[in-house]
Amino acid sequence: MIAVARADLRRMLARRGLVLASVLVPVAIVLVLAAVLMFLHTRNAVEHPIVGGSSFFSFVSIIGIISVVFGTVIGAIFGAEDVASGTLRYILLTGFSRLRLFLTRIPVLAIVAIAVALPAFVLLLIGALILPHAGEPSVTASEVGRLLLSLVLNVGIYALIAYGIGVAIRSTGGAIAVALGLNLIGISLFNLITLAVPGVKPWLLDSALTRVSDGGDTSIAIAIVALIVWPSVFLAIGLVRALRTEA
Amino acid sequence: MADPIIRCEGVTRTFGNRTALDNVTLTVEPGRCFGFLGPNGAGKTTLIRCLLGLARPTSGSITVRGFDISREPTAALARVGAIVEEPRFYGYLSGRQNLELWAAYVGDDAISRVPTLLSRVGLDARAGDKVSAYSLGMRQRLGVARALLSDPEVLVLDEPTNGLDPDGVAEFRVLIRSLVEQDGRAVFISSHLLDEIEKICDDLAIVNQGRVITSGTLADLIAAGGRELRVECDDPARAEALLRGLPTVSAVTVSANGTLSVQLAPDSTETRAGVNRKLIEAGLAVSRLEPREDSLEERYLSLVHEAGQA
Repeated sequence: MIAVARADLRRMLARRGLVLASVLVPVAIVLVLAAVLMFLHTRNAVEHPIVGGSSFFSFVSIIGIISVVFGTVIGAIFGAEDVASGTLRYILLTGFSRLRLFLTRIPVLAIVAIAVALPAFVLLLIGALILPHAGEPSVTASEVGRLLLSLVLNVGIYALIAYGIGVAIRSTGGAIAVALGLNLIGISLFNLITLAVPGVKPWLLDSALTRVSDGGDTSIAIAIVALIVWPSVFLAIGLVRALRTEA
Repeated sequence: MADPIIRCEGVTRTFGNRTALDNVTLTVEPGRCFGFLGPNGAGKTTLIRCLLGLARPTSGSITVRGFDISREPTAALARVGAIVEEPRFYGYLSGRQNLELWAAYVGDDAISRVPTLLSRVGLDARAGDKVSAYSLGMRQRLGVARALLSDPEVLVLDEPTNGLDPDGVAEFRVLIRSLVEQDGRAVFISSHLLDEIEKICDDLAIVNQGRVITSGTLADLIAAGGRELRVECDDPARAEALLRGLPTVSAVTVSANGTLSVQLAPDSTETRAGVNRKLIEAGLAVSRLEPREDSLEERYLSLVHEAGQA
């Protein structure tokens, strides 16, 4: 299974366009932000005294949104590609079972989706530390840890949800559309439920993600369970489809 | 005789009201090339998908290498290679990277076979190119290399020469025969191309509308058709009259140049020598007498037509 995971990892990384875009777009956003802030600071340091520090590091939320979108696209492609491209039957003919295939790809996907988000995060952290931020509190280790956890959880979980959708839908384009739609709009719509049933709120994915990374007064146990249940539901749907589909 | 490497017994597959395979029974022997011949839509790909465990028969049983494909698919497919419908690869990977990826699924031994297989199918020079830049013929050859990764006892190839140019077809034919004759592997090929089957296969089954209408060795199948003799002699008119009177002859025609076409009755035991003797005993000088057997095309068309009428 390790040989297969390694081979699949190499295959994903060979999609250079997707991988480079996933890495470079967030990196480019960080660089543009730094350039604009430095430009303003250079022109008028009194009016724009702060470039780095915690203020700059707070842009991690933008990086998070972009990385979730790319993680979703990667997850949907990873889930749907083999059926859509007709390669699944050749994998099954090697005797590698559908269940093993489905399970082997989960850690591979998580590694790829999270890895492509990290360069922008690291660059943002470096910028926060080295860019001028007189009077602004510096970035603390706990803040770095908290935001890194938030990024990893957001990207990883949304990528796994997209993977489950991809396996279930079996069309790369359709899976990307549905997964992005669900991630960007659908899950937010669940928040409307909380208007009618406030007790549901801790179980919503966004609430659970926020609770685990940013803290709060709701139950941490419920948040952790919710973070396991949400991707598991979509993975289970994908697995059922994977086991039943004729290749 | 060795146990069949593939055995199908009473295999039926239905899709709603449509019967794609109807009680198909056939066997494929080790070290032989078996052709599964039939028109488009006859059920060839459906049978191949059932053979490979990609689809389940509605009824009947299939064993591959002695293992029931439904109950023990992993054991059955452990040494089976296949191309189903068309060879599909990851276009953004090179030929070598694709094979290495599939080798990882097959097992550690397979990775060491990749360079040899690329060389065997004549792709070593282009192994580093992305598959998206390959021609169909190159993808077919890469498909055979992938099918050979597990060192298979049997290869199952679905319409393998579809879309190939004449050079590609000829190269492919040589490759397949070498797998049978040099390696001793069994090859199961489905095709609607009569010429291809006739040149590659040792045994065949003809399928029409999901039913096997005949099967056996290629030679026996052709020999079972109508037998015809071409006769040239010094007096065609007298020879025609003589031959028409024989109960073992079903028809005689004379061409403009005097050559007689003598159709022997299908159940006749009459031999070439017997016809020759009768002509000579009648005082005719026979200058030429040669058999003309049906071609596979004639036999195929005849059998499919008969099956259609039935």
